[in-house]
Amino acid sequence: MTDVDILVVGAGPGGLAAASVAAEAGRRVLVVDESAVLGGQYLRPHPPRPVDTPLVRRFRLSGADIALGETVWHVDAAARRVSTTTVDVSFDRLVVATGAFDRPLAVPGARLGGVVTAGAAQALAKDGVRLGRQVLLVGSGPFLLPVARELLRTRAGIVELALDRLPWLGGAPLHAPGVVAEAAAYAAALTRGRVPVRPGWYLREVLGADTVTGAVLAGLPGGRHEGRVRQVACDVVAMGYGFLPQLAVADLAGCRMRFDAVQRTWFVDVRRGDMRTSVPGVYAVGEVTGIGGHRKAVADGLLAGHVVGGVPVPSSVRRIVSSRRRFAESARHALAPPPLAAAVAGEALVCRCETVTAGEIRAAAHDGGANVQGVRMRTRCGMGPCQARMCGQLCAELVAETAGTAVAAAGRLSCRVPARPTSLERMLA
Amino acid sequence: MRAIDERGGESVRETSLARAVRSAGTLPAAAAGGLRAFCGMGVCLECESDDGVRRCLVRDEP
Repeated sequence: MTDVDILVVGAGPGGLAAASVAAEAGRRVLVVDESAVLGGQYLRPHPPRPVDTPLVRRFRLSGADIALGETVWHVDAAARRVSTTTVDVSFDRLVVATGAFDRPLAVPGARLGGVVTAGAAQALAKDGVRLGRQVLLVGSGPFLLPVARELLRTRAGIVELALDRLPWLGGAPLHAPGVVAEAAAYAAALTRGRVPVRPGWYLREVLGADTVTGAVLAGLPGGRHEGRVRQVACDVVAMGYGFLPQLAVADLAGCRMRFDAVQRTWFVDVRRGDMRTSVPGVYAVGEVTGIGGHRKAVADGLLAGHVVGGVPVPSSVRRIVSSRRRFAESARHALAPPPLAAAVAGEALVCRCETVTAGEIRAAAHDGGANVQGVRMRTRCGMGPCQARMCGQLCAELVAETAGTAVAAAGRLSCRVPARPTSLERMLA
Repeated sequence: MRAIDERGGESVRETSLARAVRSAGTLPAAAAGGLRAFCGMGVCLECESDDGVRRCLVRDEP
């Protein structure tokens, strides 16, 4: 058993910020992350090398310890103990900074070889891998722009960037002027790479016998291309329809969740003044509390780090938090994923682990399972090893669409112990 | 604890997924050889390597 004052789960920007401040305050801090490198997906450098940013340098000097390659599979919040791949850790305060992952869309053909999420495409590109010769990048939100740039760096060919709408952040840049320069750099990269950018389309189907040979795009309902369908020849489809928070650790800790009607998903409910969750001793920062990007994650982390470190929060940090929350709030509507549940074909696999289709979920919802728990019992949707991370959100949207209720009323498929596949030997240790 | 001390040197090893795709040249070439991947972050846990065994090639765990 390892004993620490503060345990931080997640070594992305929010987790590193919280850990740094708490360690600088003299607390014994341990950060665990399942990746082999710190920094999370955002700070992961291209080409692969140790991350070196001001935040990471501050973390390295803070005195906090780091354990990489450690996956949390159990949290006992009452006993203040977490179990990871190889060790049990007891803590006084827990900071959940587990980030987010791509929100997938279920379409026929999505299990063909060559279909990946936008996050996977970016991760492979950052590892220096050339993804393909004809990559179709399709989805929603500004995240697809840096993905496109990474692909171009590896000389992958991008046949098209097909979006629901142009990623416009509204008034958000007023609260983070650097965003304008970032957007300009992405636009320049797309222009240099001669990447066609086409708004108003969504992915309807992936074509191919064993591997990808093309895709079918359809005009977005309500958009100017509505009713139109076209084919695109490609050898890779990389899709990303926004993000979903990685709630497993917060689930296991018993944290209360809140529903965000704009993002149409659940987040950890925190007190904005100190990032406390509903569970005593448990705090949450970053994307698990609301999609807002790395700037908001760092601000959350700085705030939580002072609170769990037991030191006053300086007014300078309060100002940063306030500014970055305004940025996130301004961007929130622009980052909203398109409502496409009604457009998902019946034969599309939603639960990829248990091979449950959209049609089967609609039928189960129609037969009385007007919430996701009922559908889970009838279809096994969400009962596979990924614990509904890939299917839970779309399942809820399909149930709501079928039952004619709000998505929030359909409920949520939560994570259970073990959060990740774990050996019996380890569980019994 | 399987800890990597940052101050002592960070591991920058690539994932098995990246290694497999790099070895094949591109993702389509790897897919033609039987490799399947989706999330690329250790979330979906549904990779299938070219030996037909399903395991996460990002976290290298079953």
